[in-house]
Amino acid sequence: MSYRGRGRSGQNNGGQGGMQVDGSNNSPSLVALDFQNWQGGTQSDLISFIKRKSRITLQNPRVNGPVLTAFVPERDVSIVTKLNGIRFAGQALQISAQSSASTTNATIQTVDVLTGFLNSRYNASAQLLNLSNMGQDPVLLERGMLANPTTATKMFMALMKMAKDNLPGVRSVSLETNQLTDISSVQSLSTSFPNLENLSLANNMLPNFQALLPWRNRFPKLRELVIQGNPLLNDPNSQREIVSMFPRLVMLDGVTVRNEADLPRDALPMPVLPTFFETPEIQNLSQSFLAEFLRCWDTDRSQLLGLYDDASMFSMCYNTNTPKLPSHQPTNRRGPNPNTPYTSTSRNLAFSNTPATRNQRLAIGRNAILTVFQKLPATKHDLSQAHKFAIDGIALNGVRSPQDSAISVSIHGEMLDVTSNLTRSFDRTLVILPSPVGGSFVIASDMLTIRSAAGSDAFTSPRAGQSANVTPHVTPATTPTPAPTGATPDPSTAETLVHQLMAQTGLTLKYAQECLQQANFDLGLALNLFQQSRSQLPPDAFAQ
Amino acid sequence: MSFDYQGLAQQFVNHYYSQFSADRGSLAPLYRDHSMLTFERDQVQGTQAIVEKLTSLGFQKVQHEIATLDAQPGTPGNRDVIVMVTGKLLIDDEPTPKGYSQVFHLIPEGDSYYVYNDIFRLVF
Repeated sequence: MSYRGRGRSGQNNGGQGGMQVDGSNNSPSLVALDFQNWQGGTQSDLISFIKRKSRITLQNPRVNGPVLTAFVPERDVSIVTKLNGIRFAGQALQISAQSSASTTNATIQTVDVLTGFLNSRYNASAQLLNLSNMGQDPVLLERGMLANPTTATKMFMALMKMAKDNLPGVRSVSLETNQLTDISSVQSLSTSFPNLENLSLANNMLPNFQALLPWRNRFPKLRELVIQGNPLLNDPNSQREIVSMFPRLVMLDGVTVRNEADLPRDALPMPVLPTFFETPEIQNLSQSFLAEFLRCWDTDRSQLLGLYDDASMFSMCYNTNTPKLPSHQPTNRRGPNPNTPYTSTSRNLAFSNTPATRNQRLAIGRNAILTVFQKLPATKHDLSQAHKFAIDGIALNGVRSPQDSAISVSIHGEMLDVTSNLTRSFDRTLVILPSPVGGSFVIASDMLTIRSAAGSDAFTSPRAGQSANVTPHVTPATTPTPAPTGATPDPSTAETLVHQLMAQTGLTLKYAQECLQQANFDLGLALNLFQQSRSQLPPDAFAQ
Repeated sequence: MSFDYQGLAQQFVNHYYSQFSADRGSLAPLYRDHSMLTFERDQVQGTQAIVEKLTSLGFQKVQHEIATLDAQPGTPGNRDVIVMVTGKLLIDDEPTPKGYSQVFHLIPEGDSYYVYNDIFRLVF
């Protein structure tokens, strides 16, 4: 959630008290001034008038009955209050600074209150943020921060934003006893702490497991969840459904629900650009899955065996006929050596292998697959070089049974063949199913092609880079100006784009942000993405 | 394997690429309304949108030269087939071909097959 770079514009702020959480600590403190007898003119007349007379701009004006309240920096207070009594629009304008207790900017007060609250609720040694029973917290109550669902949601979002910045060590969060009937007011927890390991939602009023769906696959590292004391447990299916929402959940209400040893190891962070994912869930899953998969592929392929079962298939092709690009340096671009270990496993149906060979080179079942894996040369994939990889992940239903919801992930990139010390390119397509026994995944199909190194120009400059060359995939009508790959605009530009996207699509802030991030902050592309995935978006992706 | 998915894969790609060169509009019968084309970063669904996408690509002459072709039967007993191709794309009068990688997921329908997923990437 980005609250940065945007002062409150004031016009439509109904006086709910400042929930502004931008970097106000660096700006001078603001003091509230009350203006009366100004109604002979308009609000903007008054602001221009004061500016003309004092060269000071009133900030965040709002009207409350006959009083217009606006803020000025502390050092300017006396300059403006000297104008007290001046004639404005036929009347003597009354200007007074609010009493000292309330002169500090409400925003800063809010920040202070929330900071104090967070600190009082954080146990640093346990890395536990205890947000239980917030409804009884005297400070929050006094400030009216839980007065209604909207303010409570805003408060929580602000709290999460601050917690993310100030308490990076949080591993456990308790949201016990908060009368939650859904998670909408606390949903931003997953944005601030996607790597949360322990979460308690005990003793709330969550009616059914569907209430947790907005967090589905949002906590890829969540290990333990407590949901006891919620009506949702009346449904015997709830536990199973909830386990399926959190891929690494091991304990649910103190009961072991998965064997931790069977889980894939922690995923490495792997930003991958430019890529297309149908949904954020597929993106999360694909990226963390592939990062872990390739890490094991490089270090110990036998670790991957748990991902294959007796019906899994693997085959590989060795492409000896790749285009030679004059733009590439010849180093490392030797044509493939025909005597590599690849040739004995390559199953290229475009060449005339005998039917027996073809069938034999399709490995079916985990043992056959491991045998082939061990034959292939050792490799090293440098996943930190995100620009050298491109990934497409799409949903695929009914792979082994009509209920399956699988994903098909294709990755293209480079690796170092450690045996020959040659860089090579590869394409790999995996069909990944959630495991029928829960917890892990099964790779139903695995197809690999090895090519001589082709660089990553095709990914790093997918649109702009080809303009002088061929442009087989560019259709001017649908491709907007390319954004530099991976570039994130400055916060205010990003925010403007997010708001434009929200206005054009009706998406919520969170989804709009995610969509833009996937589109590298290219608004046109983001709109395309939206159109393409609209039908798959959950209802909560849309405002209202 | 009880059915000749390998032969099917070969027939399919030969047919697909020759139609692609001759008239991209003629590929329409190979897709269905739930088919998905992922072409570089763009994704379109449905026969009409896919054919529009393919016919709007900015070149006149195009030829696919297959370097590798692999296929696997998708679902046991279901006769669907996953096909993976890498090769070179020769476009108009460009002297340098482009490397590409393409995956098709073919689903049986009556006596023939249609393309459920089509994922294309230039890989240079």
